[in-house]
Amino acid sequence: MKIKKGRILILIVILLSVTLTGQIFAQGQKTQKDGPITLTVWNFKYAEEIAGKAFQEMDKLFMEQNPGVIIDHQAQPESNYYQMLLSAFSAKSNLDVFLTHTDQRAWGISESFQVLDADIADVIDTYSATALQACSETNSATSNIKILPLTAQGVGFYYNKDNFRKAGLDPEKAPADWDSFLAACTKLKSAGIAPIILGNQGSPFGIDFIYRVILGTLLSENEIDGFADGRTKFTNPAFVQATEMIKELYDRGFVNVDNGSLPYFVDAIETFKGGNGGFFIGLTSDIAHWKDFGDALGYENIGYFSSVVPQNAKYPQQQVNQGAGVGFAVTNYSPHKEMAAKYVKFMTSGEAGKIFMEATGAIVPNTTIPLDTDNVMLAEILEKMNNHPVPDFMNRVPGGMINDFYNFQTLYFISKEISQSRYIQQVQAIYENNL
Amino acid sequence: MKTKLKQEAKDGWILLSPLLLLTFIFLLYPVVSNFYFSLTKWKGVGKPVFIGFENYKTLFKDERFYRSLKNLGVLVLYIPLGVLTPLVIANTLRKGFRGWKLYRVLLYLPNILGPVILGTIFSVILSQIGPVTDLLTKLGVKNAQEIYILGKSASAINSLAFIFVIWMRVGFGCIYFLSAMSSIDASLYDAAKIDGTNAWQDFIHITLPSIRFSIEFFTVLAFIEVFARMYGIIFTLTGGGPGYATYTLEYGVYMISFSAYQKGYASAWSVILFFFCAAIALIQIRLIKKGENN
Repeated sequence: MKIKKGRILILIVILLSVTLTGQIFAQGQKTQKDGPITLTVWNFKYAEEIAGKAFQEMDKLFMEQNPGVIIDHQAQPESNYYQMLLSAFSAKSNLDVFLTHTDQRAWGISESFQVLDADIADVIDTYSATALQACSETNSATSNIKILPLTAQGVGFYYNKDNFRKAGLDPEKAPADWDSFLAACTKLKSAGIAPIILGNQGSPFGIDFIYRVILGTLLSENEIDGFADGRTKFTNPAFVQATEMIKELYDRGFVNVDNGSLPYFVDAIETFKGGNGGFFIGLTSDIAHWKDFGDALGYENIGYFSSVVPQNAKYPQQQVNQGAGVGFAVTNYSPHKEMAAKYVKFMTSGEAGKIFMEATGAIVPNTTIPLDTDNVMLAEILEKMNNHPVPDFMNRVPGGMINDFYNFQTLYFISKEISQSRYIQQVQAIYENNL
Repeated sequence: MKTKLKQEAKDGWILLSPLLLLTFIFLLYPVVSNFYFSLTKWKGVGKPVFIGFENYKTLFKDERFYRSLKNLGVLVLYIPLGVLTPLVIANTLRKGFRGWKLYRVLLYLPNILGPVILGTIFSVILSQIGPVTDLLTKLGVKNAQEIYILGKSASAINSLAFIFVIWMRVGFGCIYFLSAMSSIDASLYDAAKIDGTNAWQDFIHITLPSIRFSIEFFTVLAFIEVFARMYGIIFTLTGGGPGYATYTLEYGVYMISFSAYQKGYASAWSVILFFFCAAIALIQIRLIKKGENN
C-alpha cells in the first residue's frame, strides 16, 4: 500500500509539472494574442550613448503613433552578435526585428530574414537605389530586399589640418597620389607627429579599411563582386600591390607603434579626436566620421579624401560605398511581421531617421530626410558617395573568413612573422576554405 | 520476496526516469546528433544536407586542425608545472606560517574571477600600452612597445599556457592538495622526524605517495580543462591569433560553427574533440577505480 502511495505521489508530481509548464506557455501565447503587441528588437548599437538615446527617442515616437504596440528594444554585444542571431534563429526565439550589417555575416544567415518587397512597395522610391542593392539578397534595388538601410556607409581618409600646418604641409591640399601621401607622411614624421593613426587590436580594422579603399581604386566593380564567388582571388596583382603599399607604411615607421594594442573602436578614434596623428582611415556614418571629428577638432581643421591613390590606379576617383552600413530586418518567423515591417520602415525614414541622423551624424539614405549640405566636408563626402561609388570588397568576401583573415593580417603586418608570399598564400587558402 | 524485489526494481526505474530523461535530452541526444551533423553540410538554420565523410576529409587537410593539435601539445607540456606549482605551495602552506590565510585568498582569486575576466585583464596587462611595456620602458628597454607579447606567435601561446595552465589553477590546486594533505596521518611525519629526515625527504617519501591519487586526478582535470575549457580565455586574450598561434580544437569548433556558419564541419571537429575527451575520461575512470581499490 505504501509503495502504491509513493507511485501515485510521483505521478502527481509529474502531472503537476507538465500542467504547470503548459500553463506558462499558454500564458505567454495568451498575452501575445489578446494584449498589446510587443515587438522584440535586438540592436548592437543600443548600448552606445548617443545612438542608444536616439533609438529610445525613435521608439517613443513610434509607440505614440501606434498605441497598442510596445517596443522591447534590447542591447546586444557587437563582438558575437551574429553568433547570437544564428542561435536565436535556430531556436526560433522571441525576436521580431534586429539591426544588422549588410555584409556576408548577415547574408550567411539570411534564410531567416523576411523579404520586405511588398511591405515597402509604397515607399521604395524614397530609399537610395545603391543602399537598397546592398540590402537585397540578389543585389537588386527592386526585389529580394531583406534589410531596410539605416546608414549609408563608406570608408575614407580624414586628416588633421592643424597637424598638417605644423609639419609645413598645405592643409587645403589633400595628397593626390601615393607619392604625395608618402611625402606628407615623411614630413609629419619629421615634425614628431605620428603620420597615420591605426587601431588594430582585436580586429585590425585599421589595416582592413586601408585595403578596402586601395582595392576600390585598383579593381572594377565586377572584379570586386568576384570576391563573393572565387572569381577574384587574393593572389591577384591588385591585392598584392595593396599589401605592399600597407607594408611600406609599416616599414617606414608611418604607423603609430602601439597600433597592435589600440582597438579601432574606439581608442584609435579617440586618439585622432584628441588631436594626434596626421591621417586617420575613417567611416562616413555611424562613428569615426565627419561629424565625430568635426565636433572634436573643428570642421575647419578636418579634411577628407576617399583613398590613397596608387600610380597605376584605374579608378582614382572611386569612393568605397557599401550602399548601406547597417539596417533593420524582420525575422521570417515573427508572429507580427506586418507590424515589424511597419516599424523598420518608420525607423529608417522620416522623423525617426532624422532623429538618428542629427544625433549620430550618420547619413541615412532616404530622401524623406534632408541632409545638411551647407557642411563642406559632408557635401564632399556625399558627392563622392553619390557620383563615384565602388563596392566594398569586404562586403563580398565570405563572412566565415574574416576572423582568420584578420589574424593573418596581424601576423604579417604587426608581428612581422611571415613573408609576404606566405601571407598571400595563406589568405587565399582561408578564402577557399570558406567559399 | 521475489515480487517485492521486482516491485523495488520497478520503483527504482520510476524514480530514475526523470534523471534518465534529462540525461538523454541533454547528453546522449546532443552527442549522437552531433555525429549525424558531422556527416552533413549545415549552417545551423535550414535543412542539413547529407554529404557522407566529406567534412572529415576536409578536416584532415585543414591547416587549422594540425595547428590546433600542435598548440594543444604546447599547452599540455605546461601541465606538469601546473601540477607541481600548487603542490609545492600547498606543501609549504601545510605547515602554516604567519598570514597564510591571506595567501590562500590571494591564490584562490584567479579561480573566482574566471577565464573571461582574466583574459580581458591580461590582454590589457600584456598589450603594447599596458603596465608590462611601461615597466620594461622604465627599466630602460629600448622600443619596449615592439616586444608586443600577445602579437608574437611564440610568446602568445606561452603566455596563454602560463596564465591558464599554471597561474589560474594554482588557487584551486592549493586548496585541493591542502585538503588531501590534511588526511595524511601526522604520526608518519613524527616517525620520520625521529629518523632524522629533512623537509624534502618528507615531501618525496611521505607526502607525495600519500596523495598520489589526488595528484593523478588533478592532472586528469588539467587535461580536460586544456582540451575543453579554454574557449573563454582564448577568445578574450588572443582571439586564436596571431595567425593560428593560439587556435585549439575547442576554439575551432566555436569559430567554424558560429563565425563561418559551417555547423556540419564544426560537428566533425567536435567529434574529434569528443574522442580526445572520452580518452581522458576513460583514464579518469580507471584512476578512480584504482584509487578505490587502493
